[in-house]
Amino acid sequence: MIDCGRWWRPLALVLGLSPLAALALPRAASLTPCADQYLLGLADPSQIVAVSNYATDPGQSLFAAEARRYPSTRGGGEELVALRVEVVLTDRWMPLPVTERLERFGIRVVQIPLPETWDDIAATTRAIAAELERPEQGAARVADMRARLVRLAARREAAGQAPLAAYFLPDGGSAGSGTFIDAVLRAAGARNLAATLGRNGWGTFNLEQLTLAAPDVVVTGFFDQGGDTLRMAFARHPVFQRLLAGVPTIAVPDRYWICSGWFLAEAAEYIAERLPAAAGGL
Amino acid sequence: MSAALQVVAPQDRRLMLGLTALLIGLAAAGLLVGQLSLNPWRTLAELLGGDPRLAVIVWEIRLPRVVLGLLVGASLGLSGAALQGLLRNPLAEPGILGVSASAGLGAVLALYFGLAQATLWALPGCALLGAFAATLFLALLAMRDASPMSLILAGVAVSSLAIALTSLALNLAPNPLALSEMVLWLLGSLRDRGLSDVALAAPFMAVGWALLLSAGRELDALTLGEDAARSLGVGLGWLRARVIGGTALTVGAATAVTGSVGFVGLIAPHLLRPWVGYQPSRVLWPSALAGAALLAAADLAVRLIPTHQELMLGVVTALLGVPFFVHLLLRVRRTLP
Repeated sequence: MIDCGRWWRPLALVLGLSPLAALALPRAASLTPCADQYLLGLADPSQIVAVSNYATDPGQSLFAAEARRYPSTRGGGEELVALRVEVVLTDRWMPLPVTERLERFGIRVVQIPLPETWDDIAATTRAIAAELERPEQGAARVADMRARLVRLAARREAAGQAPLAAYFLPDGGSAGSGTFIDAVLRAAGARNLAATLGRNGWGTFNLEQLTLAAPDVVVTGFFDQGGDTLRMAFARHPVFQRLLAGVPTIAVPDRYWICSGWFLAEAAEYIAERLPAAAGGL
Repeated sequence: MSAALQVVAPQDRRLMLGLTALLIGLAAAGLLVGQLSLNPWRTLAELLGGDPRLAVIVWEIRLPRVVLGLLVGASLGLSGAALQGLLRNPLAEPGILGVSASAGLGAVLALYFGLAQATLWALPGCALLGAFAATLFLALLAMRDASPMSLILAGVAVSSLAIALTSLALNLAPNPLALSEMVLWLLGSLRDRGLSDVALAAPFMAVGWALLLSAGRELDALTLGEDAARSLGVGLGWLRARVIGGTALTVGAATAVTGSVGFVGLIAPHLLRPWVGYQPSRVLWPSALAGAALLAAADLAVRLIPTHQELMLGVVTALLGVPFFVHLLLRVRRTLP
C-alpha cells in the first residue's frame, strides 16, 4: 500500500515556522473525531490549541501521530475558555445550547456538515479552511483530492466492468445512492449494491435481501469497534458469515472514513487497490 | 416432593389447545412472512419446491428468530406469572421490577470487560447473576413490607440503578460507539439472531422453566398467606429459592440474547385471568404460551411495519403494556387502600 497522504507535512512545517503565518491565525480546537481530521488536516500547527479525546487513536484518526502533539479536551466550555480558543470545529450534531453557550464566550462554533458528493466535499473543505484562515491549505487538499479522483477514474476506465460491492456496517447498516459511501465506492470503481437495489440514503440491509443478492465483493466499515455485542448480531449471523467467506472482503480501516471529507479519496484508493474483477468480466 | 410438574387442570385444556393453535399459527406466519415482501403462499410453494435461497431465508434467518421469540416470550410470561404469585402482587413483572434491566447490566459488564470473550457462558451467566441479585433484593423487600405499591416503587429504583450503571459501564468501555448500544439493551430486538443465540439461552431457560412450573401448587397455598402455606406443609424458603432462581435463569438468559423486553410478563397472565382466575398453578402454563404468542406477534409486527429502521421489540410491547399497567394500577388502588 502506498502511504499517500503526507506530502503536505514539510509544507505545514514551513508555514508553521513562519512567524507571519502564525501571527494572525485564530486559535482553534476540535470536539469530535470528524472535526479532528479537519483541524489537523487544514490548520497550521501553531494555531491548533486542542483536539478531542479520540484524535490520537490511530484506528480512528488519519492524523493520530500529529494529534499527540496537542492537549485533548472533553469539549467542555470551561476548558475551551481557559485555552483561549477562538474557533471550535464540531459536527452538525452538536446540541444547540452548547453552541449558544460557547458563542456567548466569544468562541466561534463551526459545524462541519456531512457532504455526500465530491463537489460538496470540496466546497466544505474550502469553507472550513476559510474559517481557519487557511484557504491555501483548503485549496491544496481539494487539488490533491481531485488529482486522486482523476487517477482513480483512469484506473476505472482500464478495469472494464465494475464489480458489484456490498457495503456493511456491523449492525447491517448500509448506504444507498446519495451518500458519501456511494460516492467512494463509485470512485473506487465498484457498483454499490444498495444503490442498484434502489436504496436512497442511509439505511439498513436485512439478511433476507442479502440471500437474494450476489455481490462480487463485500466492503466493511467499523467492524473492529463493536466486539461481540448485541449491536453486532448482523455481523455474527451465519448467513452473513457465509457471504463473507464466499467473496473477497475489503475491511476499510475506520480512519479512512470516520466522516466525510477530502480524505475519502484515500478511502476510495484503499478500496480500488483491493477490488477484484467483476464476476461478469471473468 | 410436591414439586412435580403441574399437570394442566381439565377445565383449562381447551384454553391450552387454543393457545397452542395460536402459537403454531404465529410461528408459521413468522416463517412465511418477513422483511422481504414475498407472497407467503409462493414462499411456501418454492420452499417445498427446493429453492435454496428460500431455504436459507426461512430456515436460517426466520426460524432462529421465531424460535428465540417463542422461548423469550414463554420465559417472560412464565416468570411474570410466577413473580405475581410469589410476591402476591398483580403488578409484578420482570421488566417493571428491574429484573430485566439488571440482567442487561450483567450482560453489558460481561461483554465490555472481556468476560464474554473468555468464555461463551459468561454472557448468560452474568445476565443471570444480575437478574438473581435484583429478584433476591425484591423478594427480601416483599417479605418485610407486603404493600404492592412499595414493591413497585422499589422495582422502579432497581430499574433506574441498573440502567444508570449500564450507561456508566458503556461510558467507561473503550469504544466510542458503545453508548449507541444502550437502546438495544433497553428495548430489545430479535433482529438477526441465529441458532447460536438459541443454543446459548435455551439450556438456562429450560432449567428455569422447570423450577417455575414446579412451584404452582405451593404458590396456590401461598395465596392464603404465609402462615397458612406453612401449615399446609409448604417450605417457604425452598419455594422462594425456586421462583427467584427460575426467574433469574429465564429472564437472565432471555435478556442476554435479546435485550430487555418489557410488559410481556404483565400482559400474558392478566389476559388469561378471565379464564383461569387468580390461582397461580392454573396461570403458569397458559402464561408461558400466551407470552410466547405475544412476543411472536410483536416480532411479526416489527417485521411488517414498514419503518425505515426496524422498530425495537420493546416499543411494541410497551405500547401494548403501559395502558394495561395503568388499568391494573387503578384497580389495585381501588381494592387495596
